[in-house]
Amino acid sequence: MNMFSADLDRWREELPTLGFTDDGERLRGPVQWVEPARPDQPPTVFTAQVEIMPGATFPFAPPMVRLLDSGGPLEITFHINADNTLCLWEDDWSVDDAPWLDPRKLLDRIADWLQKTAAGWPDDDSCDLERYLDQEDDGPRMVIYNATRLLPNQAAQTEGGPEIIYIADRARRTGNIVNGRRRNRKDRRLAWVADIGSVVQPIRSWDDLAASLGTHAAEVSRLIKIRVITVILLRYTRGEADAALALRVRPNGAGIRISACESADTSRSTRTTRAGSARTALTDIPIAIVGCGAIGSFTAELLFRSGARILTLVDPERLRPGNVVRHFADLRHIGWPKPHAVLDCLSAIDPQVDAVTVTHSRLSTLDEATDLVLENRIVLDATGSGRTSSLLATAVNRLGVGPDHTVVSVCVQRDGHVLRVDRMPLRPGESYLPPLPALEHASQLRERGCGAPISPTPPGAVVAAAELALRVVIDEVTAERKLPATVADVRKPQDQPPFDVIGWITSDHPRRAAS
Amino acid sequence: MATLATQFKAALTRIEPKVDADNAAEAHKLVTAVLKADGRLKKLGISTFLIGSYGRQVSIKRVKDVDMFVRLEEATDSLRPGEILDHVNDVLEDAFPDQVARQHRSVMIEFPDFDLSVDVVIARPCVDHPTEHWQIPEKVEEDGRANWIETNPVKMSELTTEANDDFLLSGSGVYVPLVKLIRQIRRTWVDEQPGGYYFEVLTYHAFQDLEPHKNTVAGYLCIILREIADRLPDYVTDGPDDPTLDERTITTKATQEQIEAAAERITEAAQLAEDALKEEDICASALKWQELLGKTQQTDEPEFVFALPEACNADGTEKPTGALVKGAPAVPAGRDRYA
Repeated sequence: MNMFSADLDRWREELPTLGFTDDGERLRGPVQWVEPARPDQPPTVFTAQVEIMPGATFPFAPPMVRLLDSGGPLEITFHINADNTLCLWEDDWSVDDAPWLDPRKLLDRIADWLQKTAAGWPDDDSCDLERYLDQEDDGPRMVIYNATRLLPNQAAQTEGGPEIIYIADRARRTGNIVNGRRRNRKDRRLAWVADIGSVVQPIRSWDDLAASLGTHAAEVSRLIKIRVITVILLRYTRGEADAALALRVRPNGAGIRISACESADTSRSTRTTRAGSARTALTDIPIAIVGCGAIGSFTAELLFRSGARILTLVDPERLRPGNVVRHFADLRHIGWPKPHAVLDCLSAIDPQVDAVTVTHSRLSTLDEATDLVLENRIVLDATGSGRTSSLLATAVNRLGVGPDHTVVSVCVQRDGHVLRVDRMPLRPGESYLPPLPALEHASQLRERGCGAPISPTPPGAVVAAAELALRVVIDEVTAERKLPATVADVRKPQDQPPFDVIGWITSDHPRRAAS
Repeated sequence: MATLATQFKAALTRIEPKVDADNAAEAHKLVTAVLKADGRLKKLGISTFLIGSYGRQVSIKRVKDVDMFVRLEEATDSLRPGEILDHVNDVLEDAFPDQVARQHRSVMIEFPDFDLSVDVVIARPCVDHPTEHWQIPEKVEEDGRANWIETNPVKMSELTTEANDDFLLSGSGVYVPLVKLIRQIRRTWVDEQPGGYYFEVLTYHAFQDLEPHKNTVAGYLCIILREIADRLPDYVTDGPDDPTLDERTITTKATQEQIEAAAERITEAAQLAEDALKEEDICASALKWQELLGKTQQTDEPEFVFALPEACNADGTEKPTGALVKGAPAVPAGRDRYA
């Protein structure tokens, strides 16, 4: 039963009053649109005929709309799907607020689509050429390429496949490739790279594609027909936007068949686009993470994902199987030194880890702590060790507020019920939240062969603490400095004020609950 | 105005004889195979054709009988109706023992597994119009003597197809769905006579004369039903013109009183349909449409043909609210989110 069927019934009732027929499935009717004015000619009003079908996704998505008759001269170009339904809204909407719920707004949108089509979609920068082509019928493929390394108008070798095809950086000369047994085995499954600049209409066929390849079309056609080139990567622009279209090309009886594949760029700029606004500030900042256990490993990961690349990872321990359930590293890293395991995980996110150094030893002396603080803009203390935290606090406090060095100490307390981050040294006028008193009861959890009790802190609290530490680090390196000396997140109220309320408390506002 | 297109589409599905249609096709196949294997019928140029409401695809469930028109294309005016019906009866009796019954004008084969029967009607080329019309036996006497009567059921199938191509709603034929709805209304509102074919012919004339253009099934139903109601009193003595034969009218077993009673009931139904269409409240409207179309008949579990929208209570009142409430965000964080 569709819970929205009552709304759909009411929605349908309005369209017949607007001249639409309704057979209970398809609604057909008129939409008036205005052809853009031409020099010395007034705008012309046309009446198109459209078919509207609220499909299974309606009202969460717009109804399917097909153009039956444009009513006037109209060359259909962009913003139409392969099944000939109009692409009316590219952005998504909450169902309660969706504009297509109002039939009049829907018809206005269709009229707007017709007018923009007639005008050639000025100022449109939608890079969606794959929308207008058949998709692969023998399974989806993805073409991976590095946009910064490909040169146009030449062939390149491909690797992998059949589902994931990598376009390699190695170019291949193609002029001497001929058909037949003597052909080099490497001269198969090549990709042709082309840059066709600004596109004014979609590519729907080989003829369209050939026209955009210009003088190279004949050679590319020849190579496709002897099954040398199987992929074409077209780089193009729409408005101010750059994009690429990956095509699978195959000879068939009638000529050449083209179909669209999903494609993706591997260049560093694309891989870091989603890193967040602090990426630039983090990139050149040296940060040390002391303690690569649960919180330290996830904080390292978050910092690395956010853009930090100059990292020092310090920890004396090896990864145990029992650590993995709340550690960034996984079972493949059992027995590895923890900082090495973290480094290996970081390299899976971005191979550029040459500025990450690892130290598989304990920070033991004040000199070592002082050197670490001096060498790094931020030292993140994720040890939970009284001794190590004291060393780092002493070191940074000795240096004072003047020098631009900061220690950020992160921990969870009370089995993960309180997350806490303290920044050192204090700035003038600042103070810390009081410490939570240690409870007498000890964890009953033990691991065989390991003498120390195990904290029952759940993985979620670990990740949340890492995120809290990340925020404090970013606040510091971006020089926003909005966060006070202590930030705590109370996930379960404690008996001791100010930790007796759920939510955020800080040293500036110890009684304010964030929620 | 409430047109409730979705509910009408569902109503048409609900009266569609899906299972019967499959069974009827199978029964037709079995009977045709038997008849075509007979040497004498072969020599007479046998050619079978489904007629009746099922043949024209205007039947509604349940379908109890299927009419099969057996054309003997090489038959001459010397063919005697009683004798050929006897022969067909024997051929079928051999193939379907204890299932066959000789009737006055036809041979009936019962298919108990399908809960339907096939009525085989023998036809020869019309003596007066051999290239256009056919003749079927009138009541056959025991001595095999009888007259042949002119008919043209094939023509009605052709007219049905043409009408469905001429009158469209959102690109699809609306005539056939309307015939089905009218047949359902007849079953609901009229006692046994006049029968379904009589109302089908009235629907055909209404479409041909009015040439209506409406944008919903509800709109078409109102105008056609009103036309039928207005015309019925004119047919107390003579039925409506037969669309398949010039200068002939449709005959019916209905008495004058039955036709007058039917006219009165269909006038009530037409008024109910118009009231339903005018109604602004979709639930009040739907309740009227439900009353108009009644329940499925001759089915194990009769059900309302016209289901009320989900927004409506069974008494035609509206449920408090729909699922969508403007300004009550389904996504508390609003737009521009990424997860």
